[in-house]
Amino acid sequence: MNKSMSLLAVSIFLVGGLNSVNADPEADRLAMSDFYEKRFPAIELSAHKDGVYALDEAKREQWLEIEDFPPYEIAVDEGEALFSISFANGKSYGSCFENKGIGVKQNFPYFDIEKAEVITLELAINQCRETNGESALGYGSEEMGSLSAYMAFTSRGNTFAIQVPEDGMQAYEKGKQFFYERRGQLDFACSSCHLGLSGNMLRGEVLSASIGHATHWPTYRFKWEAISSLHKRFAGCNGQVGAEGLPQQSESYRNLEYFLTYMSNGMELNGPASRK
Amino acid sequence: MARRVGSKAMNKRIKSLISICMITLLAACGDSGNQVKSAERGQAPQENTAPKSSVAEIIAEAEKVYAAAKEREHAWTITRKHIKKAREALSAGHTEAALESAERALSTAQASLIQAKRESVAWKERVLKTSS
Ligand code: HEC
Repeated sequence: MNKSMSLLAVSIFLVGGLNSVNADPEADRLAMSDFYEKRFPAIELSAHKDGVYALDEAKREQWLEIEDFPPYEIAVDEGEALFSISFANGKSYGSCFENKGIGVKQNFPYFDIEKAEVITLELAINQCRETNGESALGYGSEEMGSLSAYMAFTSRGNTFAIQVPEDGMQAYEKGKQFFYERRGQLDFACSSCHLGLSGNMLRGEVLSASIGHATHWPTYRFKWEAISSLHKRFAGCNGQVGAEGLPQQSESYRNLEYFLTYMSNGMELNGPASRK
Repeated sequence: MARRVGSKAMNKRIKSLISICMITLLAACGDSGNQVKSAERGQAPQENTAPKSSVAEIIAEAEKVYAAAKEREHAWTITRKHIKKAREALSAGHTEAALESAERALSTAQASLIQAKRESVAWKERVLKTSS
């Protein structure tokens, strides 16, 4: 190695070492896991799949009672019926997915190298419809909620192992940026509430950890009186700080989901779920 | 259980976070507050009616800045509300009220665009790093 080469190597090392934004999803995930382990030493990381109910014992008990008669049950049943119907061309949803679409949600979202974009489960459902000559469903529609609820239900107990190929790094980084950027008139980032203030009360609600945020969607919210998507939640959280939310399945929300789901790698899927 | 989290270091961090938020909030409020006041006390009441055309220009400018912030996915909901109020007041002939809303729309739109630009870099400082 000549002198200038080694100088270059040293400066790359210095810049990388002192000023590093991890350009490595696994380093991000470990750093986040580490953060929550230190913040909540009495709580297993895996418990965060239950969100706020991992942090608040009293609320957890109420919630467990609700889960005895889960409010999303009807949606799962409807989803199962919808899932098995045939399209006009004789095919059905099963034809578009691995293992006929049963127990596959842990593979979403993924980065499609050819299309150069993040594919979420909801997007894949609509792509399946369109490939088979059917019209796309609205992302806020009951039908989409039910179908995704059923597919989540069949995936319970599986674990996330989201991959970020080299081509997908940009989408991942954009999702990460969205997570850490302050927004709205209140000037809060996702990280302000769900990292910095996690475990604290905000307007009567305990703030949950971001790790595990992706495990249980779609979710029945009593506030919505319907089962709905993670992206609707994103928009709600944007709105809370006075920022305009984005449309469901917009590129930025898909990238954000990609990042957040990677942060839940190794965790069990437990959707659909119920939340206040 | 939830309240058990607060170590000293954590409390400190929360406090500094909250104070940063407060400062930003105050700055944002102070901003629009000043503009409103200057609009209110500007001139004697009878001359206080801003010409319709200039109010329309401020609304148009607010819409432009708002669109730029929206393009960067940093628009604030309050801006849209003020734009709507300004338009409604203007078409109802309440020029003063229209001016007040238009100025608020413009100042919040400007603040949101400043935020968008700042955050395109500032986010990097917040990324968690492994502590080894
Ligand atoms: C002002 C604080 C605040 C900000 C900023 C915020 N949230 Fe939330 N978020 C909440 C509150 C309050 C809840 C409901 C209690 C809970 O589960 O944490 C919530 C809930 C959630 C949930 C549902 C958790 C569950 O278990 O179902 C997700 C997912 C979420 N937020 C993601 C985000 C993302 C992504 C962002 C950034 C776009 C964000 N939040 C920004 C306050 C915030």
